[in-house]
Amino acid sequence: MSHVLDLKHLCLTYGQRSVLNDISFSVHEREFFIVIGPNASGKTTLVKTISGVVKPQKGAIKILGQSLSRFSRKKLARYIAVVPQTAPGDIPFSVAEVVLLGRFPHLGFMGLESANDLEIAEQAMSFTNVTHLSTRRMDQLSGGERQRVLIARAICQKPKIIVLDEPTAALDLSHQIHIMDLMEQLRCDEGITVVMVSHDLNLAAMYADRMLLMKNGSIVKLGHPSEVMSFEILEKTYECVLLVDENPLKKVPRVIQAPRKLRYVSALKNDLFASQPEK
Amino acid sequence: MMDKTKLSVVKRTLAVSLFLAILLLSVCFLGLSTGSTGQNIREVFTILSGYGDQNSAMSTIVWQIRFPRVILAALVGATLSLGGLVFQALLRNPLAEPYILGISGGSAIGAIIGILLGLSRFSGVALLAFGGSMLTLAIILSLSSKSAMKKDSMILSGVMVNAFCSSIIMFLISITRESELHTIVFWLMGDLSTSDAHQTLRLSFALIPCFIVIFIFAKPLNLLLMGEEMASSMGVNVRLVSVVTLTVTSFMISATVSHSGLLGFVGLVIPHLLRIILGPDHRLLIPSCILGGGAYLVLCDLMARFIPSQGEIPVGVVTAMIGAPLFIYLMQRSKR
Amino acid sequence: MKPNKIIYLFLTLFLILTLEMNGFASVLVDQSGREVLIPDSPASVVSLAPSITEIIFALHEGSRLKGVTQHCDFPPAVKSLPRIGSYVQPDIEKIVALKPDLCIATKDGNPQEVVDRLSALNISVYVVNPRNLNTVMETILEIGSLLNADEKARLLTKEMRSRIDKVKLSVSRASSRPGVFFQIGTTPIVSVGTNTFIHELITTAGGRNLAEGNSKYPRFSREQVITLKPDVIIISSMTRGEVFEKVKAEWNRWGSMPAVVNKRIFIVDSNILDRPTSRLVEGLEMLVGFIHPELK
Repeated sequence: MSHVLDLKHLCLTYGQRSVLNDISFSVHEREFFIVIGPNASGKTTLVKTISGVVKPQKGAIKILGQSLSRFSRKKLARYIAVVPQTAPGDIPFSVAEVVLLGRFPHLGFMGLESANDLEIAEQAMSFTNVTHLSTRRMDQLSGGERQRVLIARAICQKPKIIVLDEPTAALDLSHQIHIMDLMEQLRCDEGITVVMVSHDLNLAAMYADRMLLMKNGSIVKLGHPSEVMSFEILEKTYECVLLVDENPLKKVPRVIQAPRKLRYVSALKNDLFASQPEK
Repeated sequence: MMDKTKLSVVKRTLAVSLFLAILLLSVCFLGLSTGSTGQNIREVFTILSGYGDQNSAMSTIVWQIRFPRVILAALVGATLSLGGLVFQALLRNPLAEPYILGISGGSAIGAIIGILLGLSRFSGVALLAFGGSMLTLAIILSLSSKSAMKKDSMILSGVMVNAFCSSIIMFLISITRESELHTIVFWLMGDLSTSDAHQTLRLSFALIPCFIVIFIFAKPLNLLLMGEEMASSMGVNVRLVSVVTLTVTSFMISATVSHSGLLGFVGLVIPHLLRIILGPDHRLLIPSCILGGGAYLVLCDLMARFIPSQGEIPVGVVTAMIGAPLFIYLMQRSKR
Repeated sequence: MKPNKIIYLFLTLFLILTLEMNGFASVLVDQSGREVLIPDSPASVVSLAPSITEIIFALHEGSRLKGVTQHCDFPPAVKSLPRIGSYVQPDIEKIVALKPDLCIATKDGNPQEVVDRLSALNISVYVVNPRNLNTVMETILEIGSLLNADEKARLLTKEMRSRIDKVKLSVSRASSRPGVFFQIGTTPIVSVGTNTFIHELITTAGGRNLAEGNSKYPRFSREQVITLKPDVIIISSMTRGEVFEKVKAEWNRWGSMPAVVNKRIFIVDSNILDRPTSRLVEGLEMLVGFIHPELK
């Protein structure tokens, strides 16, 4: 397997605070790669660095072997599509218009779409099942619908890599699984590499080929879900009481939080409760 | 459904532009045939068609007095509307407008200093106005943020800069001699009456390339409506687009401000009005703003010359008088 | 060689043609240094300032006037003439429609742009620039010669000069030079500096202009005026009556000023004193009455 994405010794500081601290890893082609970690661990910054929105102060990013700094914005957008954590709430376009905007990096001087571009947009819309919404305005959609439109738009860019920042965060159970299935399908059918930031460890464990656990801008662990999501690593990283068992559907770990009022379940860990501050 | 709405962008743009161009031409014709010496549509038509006595006083009035004035009104209207459109897209703020952001105010300071120094309207006053507007733009940009443009802080610092500019203008007025005072006050209210053919021609040579440059950026401006970060990840060089369009717009604004003075509300009302009717696509909005904004100001100027029996009222009074209620009406309607 | 000849040919043709169109004409240099093509005995004249209108009427050439500004109010005969807007912002279209042979403008009152614009439209604009009593008389003579009224202008200026001389003679006998505060604006308080007609009139009438200085129209605060201790306060106003009474009452509160003690606060019609016309002499004689009542 070849590397589509290579990160070497990335460093980034905002003022005094180190946001990314010597980050190095590679993502393989067709991989489902999920970044996890507590709040403020630098996941979103990492995504922004990969998509070229934020420039690292040190280190190098290579996309298909080519240095990121040698990509123009437009060329980069043909390789990487981003589904951001938050999109403006007041996008004035209709669904069809938003999806079609995804063709921008492939268009010529004045940005006029050809019949082929329309075709691609229609396919992307039917893929994420938003065709019936095509004339609706973005601000009239529900959260799940908005997310699917933004994914259709990203697909429309025909990227090699799709980067998603917590795409399931605001969705209900069925929409979450729908989005994740879409990504898996995209990976299998189109051969697109998926890089995703997620807070939902169990969902991530079921889909991810490999996971990257981050904390305070540094890599804690990189590897298969069963390696990363061990009880010791997770509890140390998230600094809270957890239970880890096995997912009945797949041989991957499953995590459960332990609320304070149910402490007796983990009565064995009395010493830990005493010493660990609770977040 | 999709094919119908999308494939026809070119056709829609052409159709809307054609309609607005006809509107602009008819308003211009009305402007040419109306003036303080009365209205004579047939005579004006003969003069415009090239027949008739080219040495008559009416011919001079039509060609050398009304014609430059109507063209200037159209150019200024187009520039201000386009400026408003660009600012609103870049800052994703419906209130953004050169006038409100202080760009107009900055160029007004430059222009007033130019007038006080007795410089000529084009080149002299215009250059100082351009300097003033670029200075305010630089101040606003550096105040709002050094790395990325934060839209809210930009509007806020723009409003502050504008307030500062206003006080400087009031200061300049208060130390002005009486004989120049009237000129400046009239100019501040927006005044198209000093246009002559030569200057208007030069102005149009300066403005039309700017219109084209901004039209080239229509698609990136569309993407910017998705938010700066998303636009950037979709292949837009946000910094380049912002710097080029802001500079070009400031240049256009100062070139027109030095000719026409401060005209509010054109840049606010026309883009909003057209957006409500035509939707958010800048490929459609840019030509529409140029043609529609031009027509609006020609019409306002026509009223400014037509309404009063003695002398004329400054066109800036008319634009705001019509523009403000219209804007409030539109805002109320879109809330529902 | 050849192109030059052609240019000369065209120039000659052009000159002949323009002369043909205007009857006889000559090129004169006006008081602002511009060359102006002036037709002999222009039949239709547009005046761009009240002072010029007054001078033309004083020369009994009012019949040539085809347009005046909306500020022209003297003599009463002016009321029936077409108006061409204000002198700062004349309606160019109306002027063109009147097809004047000649426009007369003032350098001080009319903006340079208006003059440029009219000349660009092939309308002859003669600019006068009277700055003091002497140049007012020169201006009257010049306008007289423009309008073929040299003799009338000569008589008019001769009379002005003799009246001025008379004033000077009687003032030279006065023992004192009272301090005069001449107020041309009420809010803010504005007076006149050295480079103005009124300053010249005050000094000629035997007074001291308390606001003399480089600034043409200096501003004063109330306490500055009180410290100046004016012997005479003259308020020039276009609106008489109520406003004047108010301003006068305001000054009368300050009993420390000689002007208040001696009841020497006056109001004058501003048109007599700030319009550079033959009426300035009337204004001068009136000022002598205010400043040196003992000489009467």
